[in-house]
Amino acid sequence: MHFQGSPNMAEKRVKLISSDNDEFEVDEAVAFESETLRNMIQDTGTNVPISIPNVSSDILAKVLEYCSYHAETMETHDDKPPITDAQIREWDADFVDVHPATLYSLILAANYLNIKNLLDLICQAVANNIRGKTAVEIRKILHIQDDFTYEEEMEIRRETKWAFD
Amino acid sequence: MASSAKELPLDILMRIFGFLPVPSVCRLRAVCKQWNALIDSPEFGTLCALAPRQRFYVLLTPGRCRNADAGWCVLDVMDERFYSLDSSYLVDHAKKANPCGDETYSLETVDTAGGLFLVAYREKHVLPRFNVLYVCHPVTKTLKRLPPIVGMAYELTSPILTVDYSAKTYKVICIGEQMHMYDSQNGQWSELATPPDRDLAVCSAVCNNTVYTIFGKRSCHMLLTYSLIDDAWSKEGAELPYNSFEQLVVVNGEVYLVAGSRTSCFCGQEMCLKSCIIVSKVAPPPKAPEKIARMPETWHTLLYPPNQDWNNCYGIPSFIAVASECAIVFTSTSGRCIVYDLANRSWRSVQKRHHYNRKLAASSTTLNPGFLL
Repeated sequence: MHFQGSPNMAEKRVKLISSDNDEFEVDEAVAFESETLRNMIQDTGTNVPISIPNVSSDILAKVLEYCSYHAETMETHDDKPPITDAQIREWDADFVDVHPATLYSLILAANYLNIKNLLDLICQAVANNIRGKTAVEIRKILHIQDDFTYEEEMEIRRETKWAFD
Repeated sequence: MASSAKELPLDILMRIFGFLPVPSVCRLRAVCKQWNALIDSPEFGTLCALAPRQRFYVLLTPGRCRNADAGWCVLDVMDERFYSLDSSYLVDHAKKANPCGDETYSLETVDTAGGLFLVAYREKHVLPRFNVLYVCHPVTKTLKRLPPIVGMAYELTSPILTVDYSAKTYKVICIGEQMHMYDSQNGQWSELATPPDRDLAVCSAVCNNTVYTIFGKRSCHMLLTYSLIDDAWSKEGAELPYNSFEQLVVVNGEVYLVAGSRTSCFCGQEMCLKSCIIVSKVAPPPKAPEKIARMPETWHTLLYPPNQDWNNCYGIPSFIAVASECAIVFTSTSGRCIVYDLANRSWRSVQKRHHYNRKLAASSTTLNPGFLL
């Protein structure tokens, strides 16, 4: 499987292998969005494929989509107008508009690959999902079991009553 | 693969919570035991404090209060929501320390910083008025009573609070005829360089280890700085033009002066009052503050309740300017807020109104869920 990165052939290409053994090929600049990959490439060079054993193909494809878009926004082209911050924000908003389960997998991948901007973007998206919701709603959305006794929960509510008004 | 939030590593959960407003985070404590423990942990407070998108709250308090109903009220500017904070623990503590009864003392929230509130306790009918300072944490509901300043008999003047998140320490600075500082690291007051022989401090703010203070009489106001590192006052000051009121606001590591003036003049037959409110960026003296914005005059009426015109509040501003995330928020007893966005250099008003009928003191804070005193 070849991932369509930026079509700049002059650059070095990097091969990445997902947990399902699919191979992805991207520009070095795209891989460099990830601190983890940057360190690995600087250690071993681009000749050896890099295996990412804890990220599946669909998630890795999504992560690389983010990296290649953001690597592209850094480039300047004489013929094209530069991408505005508003356009980037819109693209980012579309990017995180996915199923919660995908978001969690993306968080873990972004954390492992150390892509700070992506991690912040998704954490913000998850935070937006749970803000303003009640504890009961959040447990339902996130499949979390209530492990408090009634008294314990009442005690917490009493302590932070102002937040529950 | 994570299919539920429960499987997320704790540091990631903390990062997610760091993006939420503090009231939301406090509600999350009721979700499950793991989350409750996480939010109560001191590490979370530090993370929140360092989070990239820290939220600012505007604290509204009555100028002086005597009883439990006069609690704190905070405005979340971004969400345009008001929250009431419980202050009964402080009132209970003050009552115990003062068994003479309710009417003989008052509590005044004089400053806030880093999620901590600085409250002055004053006894009435006692001269010089006995002063005690409390530092309170509104979320953990802990308080610290500061020791009295040795050898200082007069009233504590313009106390200011400054907090160092990473070291979890705070300092309280009092500028009067002398200057004293309380450092939570050693729990003691120390005397600092005596302020230059001038009039009373009108207002002060701390930013980057520098204290900015305006001294002055009605006609002549000077801006001076004090370096906490060198323990020295600036040799020269910046003279400020005449203003009826002045406030110093720190936003994003920069100091702004909010100044306004009111003048009366005869327009034909009638007596008119003219007003202006100007925001200036403050540089260390002797440079004069540089004007950057002027509040649209039609908006002044938003800040002033219909029954309270300029005449009734002569000499003191009936609104207060406080720092927000990247903005200055003006708030008044009318319950309305006007926001000056420093990034876009634009004015907007907060539509939601809060019914608050007492005289207000306000300041801004980042409510911080995990800083134990």
